[in-house]
Amino acid sequence: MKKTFLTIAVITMLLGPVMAVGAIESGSKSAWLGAKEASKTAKTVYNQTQLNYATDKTPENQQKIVNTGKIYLQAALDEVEAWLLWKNTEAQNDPRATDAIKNSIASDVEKNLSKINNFRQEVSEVTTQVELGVETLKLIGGYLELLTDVARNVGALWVQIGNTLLNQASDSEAKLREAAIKLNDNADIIAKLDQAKQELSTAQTNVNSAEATYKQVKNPGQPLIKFGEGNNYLRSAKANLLNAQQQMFQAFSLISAK
Amino acid sequence: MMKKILVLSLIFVFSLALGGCVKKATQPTNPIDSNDYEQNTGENPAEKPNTEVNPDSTKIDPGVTKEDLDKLKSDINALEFEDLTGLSE
Repeated sequence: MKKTFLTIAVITMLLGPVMAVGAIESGSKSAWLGAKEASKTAKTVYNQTQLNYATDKTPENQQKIVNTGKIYLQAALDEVEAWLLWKNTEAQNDPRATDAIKNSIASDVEKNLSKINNFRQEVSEVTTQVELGVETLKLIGGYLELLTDVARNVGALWVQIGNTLLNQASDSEAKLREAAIKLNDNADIIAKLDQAKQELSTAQTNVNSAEATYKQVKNPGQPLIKFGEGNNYLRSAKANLLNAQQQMFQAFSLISAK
Repeated sequence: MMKKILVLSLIFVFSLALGGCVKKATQPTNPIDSNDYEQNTGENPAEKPNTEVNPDSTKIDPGVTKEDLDKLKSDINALEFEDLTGLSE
């Protein structure tokens, strides 16, 4: 029994740091997903109290609007806070991220967490429906500011990761081609590598478009829409990369079988 | 109890260190390159006929391994791009 405990303790000590990084990252993401869900629920409750007040304009129902509205605004702040923390954890633990991006994200997150605390204080002091309306409008503007800088840097980080993977894939394609050229009867292999090369070229175009689009994640403007557009380019690049990998894998199997 | 844990931890660390020493001892510390070979024997290995039969001598090295390609696929699949919505909706 003691030995088992000791073995587990030693294994935990050795693997602990590696497991901890993964656990912190997945924990941060789970926290964001949970906060997002809670924010949606709070919004639904708030909308319902507004409907209730529209049909029955009692002071109690009006007070419920203020109460649920405050809960909703706090939940929205929880959501953005969780996202910022998750993105910071992700960037700090990604070996592919440059120090410049890591530092930029960390500094923006720190600055925005302080802004979030100010917003929380203001929301907690709301007592009337008019004040709630004013605070909501203020938060809508502030919300974009809280997300924009970090979103732009996260986009830059994703572009960097995309380019790293593209370089690795291009390198593999070149090595496979070098091997294929040495073989007789290699037409089918070269055809697959040509397809892979074409996919990689399209992926590069998509990554470049994503990079240009993420640079437009700015205020004033439509930062979240531009962020979504950048993401769509990267989703296409991901599909291109997977197609290229598939073609390269088939070429690899054919070369190995010769 | 604490003493036992301490002793067993020391044994574990010592065995790791010993394992490392044994592994190190079985490896040449300075691999012989063709220049060393030439100095020692006066023969150039590049000119020496290869009498060993290599059954895979006609095989072409693909340049990458299956593991490389699997790793690439898993790295690509790990990419996730979450859109942002929220209060501005």
